[in-house]
Amino acid sequence: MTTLPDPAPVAAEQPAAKPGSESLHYAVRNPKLLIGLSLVLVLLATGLLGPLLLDGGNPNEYVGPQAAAPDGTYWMGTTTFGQDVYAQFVHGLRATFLVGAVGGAIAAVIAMLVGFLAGYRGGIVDEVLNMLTNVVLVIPALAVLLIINAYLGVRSVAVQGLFIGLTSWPWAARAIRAQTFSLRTREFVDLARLSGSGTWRIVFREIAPNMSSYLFMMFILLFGGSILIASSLDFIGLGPTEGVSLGLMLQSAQQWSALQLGLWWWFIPPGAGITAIVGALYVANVGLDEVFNPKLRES
Amino acid sequence: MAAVPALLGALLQGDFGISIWVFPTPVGDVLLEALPYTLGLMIPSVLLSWFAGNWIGALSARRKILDNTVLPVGYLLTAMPYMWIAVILAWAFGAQAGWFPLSGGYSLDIQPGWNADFVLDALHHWVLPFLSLFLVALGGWAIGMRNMIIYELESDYSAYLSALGAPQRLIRRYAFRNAVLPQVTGLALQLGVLVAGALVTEIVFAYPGLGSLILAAIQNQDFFLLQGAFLFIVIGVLIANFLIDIVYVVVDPRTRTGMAGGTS
Repeated sequence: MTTLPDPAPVAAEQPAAKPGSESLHYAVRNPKLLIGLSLVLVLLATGLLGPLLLDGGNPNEYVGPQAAAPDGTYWMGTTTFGQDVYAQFVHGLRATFLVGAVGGAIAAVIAMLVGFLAGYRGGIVDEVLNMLTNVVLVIPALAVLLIINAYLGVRSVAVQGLFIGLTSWPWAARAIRAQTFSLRTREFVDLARLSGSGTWRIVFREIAPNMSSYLFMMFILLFGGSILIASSLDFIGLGPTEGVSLGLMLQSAQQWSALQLGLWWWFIPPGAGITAIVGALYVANVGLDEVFNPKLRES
Repeated sequence: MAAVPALLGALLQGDFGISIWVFPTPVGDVLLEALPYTLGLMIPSVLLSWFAGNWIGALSARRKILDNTVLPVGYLLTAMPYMWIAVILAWAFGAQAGWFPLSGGYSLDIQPGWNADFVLDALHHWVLPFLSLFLVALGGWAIGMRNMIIYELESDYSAYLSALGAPQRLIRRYAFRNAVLPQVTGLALQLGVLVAGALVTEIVFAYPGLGSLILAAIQNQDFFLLQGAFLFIVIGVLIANFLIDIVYVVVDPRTRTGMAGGTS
């Protein structure tokens, strides 16, 4: 009797371990995922390490000659005031990643709470939550953020991310609700319900793991969306009141007419940084989609 | 709180208060003057990018060479911040090439009015802001359409049609008609983003629309003007959503059956 149960765990483990390793097998062979992910990681590393290598001064200080073109000392040139554009860029990357992470995480949490609850419970709960989702969905997020940010006196990157998260969740909640609807009538969910599990236990133990890839991709899209919204807000002049972000760099370039003066090194890098982060995230997302969904894989 | 009913009553009569920035002018008048510029910019760019994007996406789906160019370009365009592409276009075609003016909705030496001079001049100023809005939105629609067409071409009815020996063109046409429906819904979902894009693009080009007004309102702490602009945008988006709902009923016969009480 002591020898018999031994092979069983091994046999049970193998099919459980297989899906993960299969995804990994396709993940390391997917050029879209690898290119997108490595670009994001390079930019993240630049944002994290760049400021440390730059003797840690205030990036908005007037350090160099005014309106100098890129050269060996100032890799991305200087602004009309003599600020180092490269120093602003690496500090700005930090703020941009932070606002994406905060906004994306808050939006994802709200979207999951609303989507799972509405999709799983159905009935009156679904009606109420669906109405709430539709109301927030049709109100243009930027217009709401304009009003909120204009009334707030002091603004920080984290607060900006918080409000972006609070306004950008509806489409994700809708998608999760639809997915939950299709999963909640499956046998394994019925079984969990019969065995007396509560709503949240069923949602997080039975339903969420079955759409984990979907949730992860949704977070990536919310992350990229938050970065784009934040840059728009910064550009209008409702960005963080202190520090520097890629959107704020674009705003000051516009405000001090870098365009008319031909200082292309002032307005090209911040926009290119935002485009690179968001574009790389989108491309990585397509790659992930192909990894998780065998139908989309190129044969 | 007692003032709220009076405020709402005034609001219903179109009274948004008096602007602080352009002091004695009522907020409603300031906004109405800017509205044609924003609408003239948004409506053509949204509609044309939607049609062109769907067309390009449908063409490129499952066609190797076209797909390999459309997909990366599409992702690049849709990842660009609206104001950045606007700045790049203004720099390339305005400052460097000198083909189009850099800012404003019309030349300062021309009086706005319905004559050929003004209309041509306004069109000349309109091209670059239009182009930047058009390009960013184009990428998103093309990618969405491409993905939907691939999904539809894999569905059972497509497989059945090709088993019957139907020509590829016919199958693609059926796939297109089905793939357009989510794109119509997508248009409704994207409206908020499109409005935001139009606002920041206007600011880059100092285009005399709602976006520039909002910037001025923020810089001058003119909260009445800001609230008025907010209400205008929300009402505009609601109207557009309503119109898209009506269009959806026209293009999708199943919704008509549902409303008549039948089962689809």
